[in-house]
Amino acid sequence: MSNMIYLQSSDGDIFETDAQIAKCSGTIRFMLEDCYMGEYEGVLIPLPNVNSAILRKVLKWADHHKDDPVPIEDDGHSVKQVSVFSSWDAEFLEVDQGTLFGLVQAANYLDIQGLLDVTCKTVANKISGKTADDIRNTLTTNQNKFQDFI
Amino acid sequence: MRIPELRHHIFCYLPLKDIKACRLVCHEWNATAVPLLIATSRIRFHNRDEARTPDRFIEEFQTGELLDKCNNFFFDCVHNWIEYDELLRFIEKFGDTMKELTIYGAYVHPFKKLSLDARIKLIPSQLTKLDIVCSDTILTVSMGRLQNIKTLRLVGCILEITGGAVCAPVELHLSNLHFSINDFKINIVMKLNHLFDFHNLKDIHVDSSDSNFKLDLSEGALKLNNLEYINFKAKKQKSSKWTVRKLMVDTETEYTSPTGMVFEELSFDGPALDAEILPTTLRILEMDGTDVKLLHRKAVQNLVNLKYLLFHGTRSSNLAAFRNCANLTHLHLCAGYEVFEELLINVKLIAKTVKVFRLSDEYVLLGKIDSEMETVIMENISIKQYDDTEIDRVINAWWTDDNVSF
Repeated sequence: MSNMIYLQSSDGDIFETDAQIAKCSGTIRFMLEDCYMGEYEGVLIPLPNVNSAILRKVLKWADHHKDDPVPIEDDGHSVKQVSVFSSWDAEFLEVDQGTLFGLVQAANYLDIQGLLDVTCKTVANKISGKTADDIRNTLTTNQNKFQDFI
Repeated sequence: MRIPELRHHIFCYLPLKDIKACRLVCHEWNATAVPLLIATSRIRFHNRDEARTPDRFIEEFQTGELLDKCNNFFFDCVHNWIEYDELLRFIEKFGDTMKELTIYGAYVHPFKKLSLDARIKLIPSQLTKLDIVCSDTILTVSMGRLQNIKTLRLVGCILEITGGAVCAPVELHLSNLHFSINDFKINIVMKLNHLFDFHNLKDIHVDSSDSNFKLDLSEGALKLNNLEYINFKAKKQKSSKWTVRKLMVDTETEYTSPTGMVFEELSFDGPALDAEILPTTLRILEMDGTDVKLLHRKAVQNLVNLKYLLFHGTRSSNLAAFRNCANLTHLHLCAGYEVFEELLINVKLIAKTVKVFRLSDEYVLLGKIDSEMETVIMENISIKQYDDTEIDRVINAWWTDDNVSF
């Protein structure tokens, strides 16, 4: 049986989604389980830090990965193994820099570890191999500035 | 909006050289990069710079955050310049935070008897990676200190066997290894399968020459990423249920791998390779020896998954054996530095399925390359013209040598 809930983006759009899919977000899972005590059919959750374009993409990612195993957390201090991510993810993340950083921030705010990992890896790939000057140039020549986000 | 945690998360996916570049972008990036840089760095002492001895290091860095955050130490003293006592003093002082320790040579005075206590101090018990390579002097490592080790490399060491000690490494490299019990060196051949817990093992690299151990490939049903064995004395292996992604064999004897072992990639350096024992799962074959004899060559056509073939200066007849491999698409012929004469390759021996052909070093091609190939790479090749008489001469010579028809 599916439990449909509603997510409201910062610009007011409302998205209907299955609670099981939305619960890949630690933030939403916490709200549903702690604030609504499991009775969450039809509830509306405002997400003031995520706009509708980004939220649409986040839900698309979450739907595709709904059957993934729960990622294992590490200590956060070691250099991570850069595994090759799926061709679906690679295609999904072929977006402009602004959208990519929007996804990084949304993944962080919504606490979606898998999405945070692939988006951060993608940003790291953009930095990798560049000199400090190259990185600075990337920051200043693009409309959506790297440094504004990270 | 700037979130240092996100910056940190992104930097965690960067290799060291890129983290160094990030330090130079701005002060904020520097603040994020430095702790990560220290955490992923290795403090290295070596024997060419007096300022880099352990004692000098203790003097200068005994206070401060460097030693709190860096847990990877490398004593690179191949010429035995850093003495064992100095090494021990350092480990005693900072060993509590160590996770990874590498020692390339350490000087033990020939008349000095190392006490068990000294040997225990050498390896802090929380270490996860231990890499010791000794050549002129032999260090004794106590098995009882290896319980947390994930990566273990011991070359030129004596392993002190202690009852009840369990070491379950993920990566194991052993070479020129001997064993002792209660300070007495023993000459019994030890079975690695019993000495270590193979439960977590993913990579094994073992060289049995000058060593007192053997590896039994018939025991258990391991799944490994890499298995490398060098100079195994046994000519025949029993059957095996091991599954290996890449098998690397360097042998002086005729190679007969255990039947039943499944592997996808084989790098072989030895006098003779038996095609009959190659599994149908084989995708990549590298014949590393410059003059490998291929036995039971008809069996090669069973290798339906073989896609990549790499020869190092091997015989032309070996190439002919692979002409009927249905899915062979990549062929790389590399003469290598050990070959001092030109190697002649008749293009008719190349499988029609080959799409990517790479030729390195001093080969001479006889005939025209198939126009259906997608990519042809030639590197380090001196172009030579042969007249018809010369081609006849070399082809005849080649026919006589290899006795191959096509």
